[in-house]
Amino acid sequence: MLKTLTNKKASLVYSAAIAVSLMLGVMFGAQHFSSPASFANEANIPTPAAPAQLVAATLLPEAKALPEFALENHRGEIIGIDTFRDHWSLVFFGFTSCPDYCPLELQRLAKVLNLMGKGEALQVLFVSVDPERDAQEKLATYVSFFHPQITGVRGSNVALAQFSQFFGAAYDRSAIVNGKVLTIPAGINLPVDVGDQYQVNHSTRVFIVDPAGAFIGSFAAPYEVEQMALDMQKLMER
Amino acid sequence: MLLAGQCVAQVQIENAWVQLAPPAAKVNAAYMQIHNPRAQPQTIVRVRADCCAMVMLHQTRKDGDRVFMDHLDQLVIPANASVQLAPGGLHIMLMQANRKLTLDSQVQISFDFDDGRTQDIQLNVKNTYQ
Repeated sequence: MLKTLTNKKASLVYSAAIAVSLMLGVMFGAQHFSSPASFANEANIPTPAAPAQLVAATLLPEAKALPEFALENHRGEIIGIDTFRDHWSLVFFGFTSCPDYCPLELQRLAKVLNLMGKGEALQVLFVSVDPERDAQEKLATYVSFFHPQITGVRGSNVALAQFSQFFGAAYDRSAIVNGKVLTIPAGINLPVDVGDQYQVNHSTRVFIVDPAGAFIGSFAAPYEVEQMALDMQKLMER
Repeated sequence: MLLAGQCVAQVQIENAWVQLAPPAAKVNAAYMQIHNPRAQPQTIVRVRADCCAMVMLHQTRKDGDRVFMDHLDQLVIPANASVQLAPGGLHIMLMQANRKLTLDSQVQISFDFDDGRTQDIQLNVKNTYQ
């Protein structure tokens, strides 16, 4: 039953891949087929009684390799695509001056890390989209409070906008200047006259990146912490 | 303790607390349940706090995949009803603190109502993140 379902799903995925390949040309198509498809390991599912179906996660029709990027982690080191290699990652976008949503989300992600209990096999990246207020030291103090396996990430507005756009994690900042709402789009440095009291409207999704550095899916809020942990376990065992 | 108002309490407050902000975060959120026992709605038009120069009523709102914080100019507590200020929803945002809030801190929040009355509430600081 499960097998039939996944086969159907897989064939859908491949049909989509073929369609895309035809559009993009043979070269690019070959790349798609060689990338590890999420159903490639279905033969390795341990027992039929342990379905690998995901409850909370939504997988992309096909994995999307991350482009090269240059951001900074909370230890002040420049990070790029290598930061995703050899372990699974959950990526969340927010800001530290967020009193309500972000700390709740980081608390949930810390619980997932604790439930997983797999040391370095899973990491969480908290990407601040508010670099003007979130200096490196501040980010370091903030993320360490929640869990040692949470890495704070910051960068230039341009680099952050590109990185978040890749995931489809739209954000902007809005301030009230002279009685009018001023929206500062992603990628734009904060104008000086905005001061430090403003809102950051950001994505609520938690994005999944595999150890090959490919974006494979996401969790849409609200999700259950236990379900996220179970789904990650299934993905990591594939 | 929670009803230490200067005048007769207009609303009943339960489970009021200030969330200890993670270190480095300069904003705190306060949560509580506000019950209006009267037969008429009551409207809070201003919120003040002794710890902070800037206090705002905010509503966390999810729209699609994005989260926004809406600023509320006032908060209406319907007649014989309660309004819940809770994590992930309505909250009082405490900004520009004049002292660092710790687990030992006491915060007084004052509600100004549209009829000119004021009600003070004493809150403890809690850490529910760890």
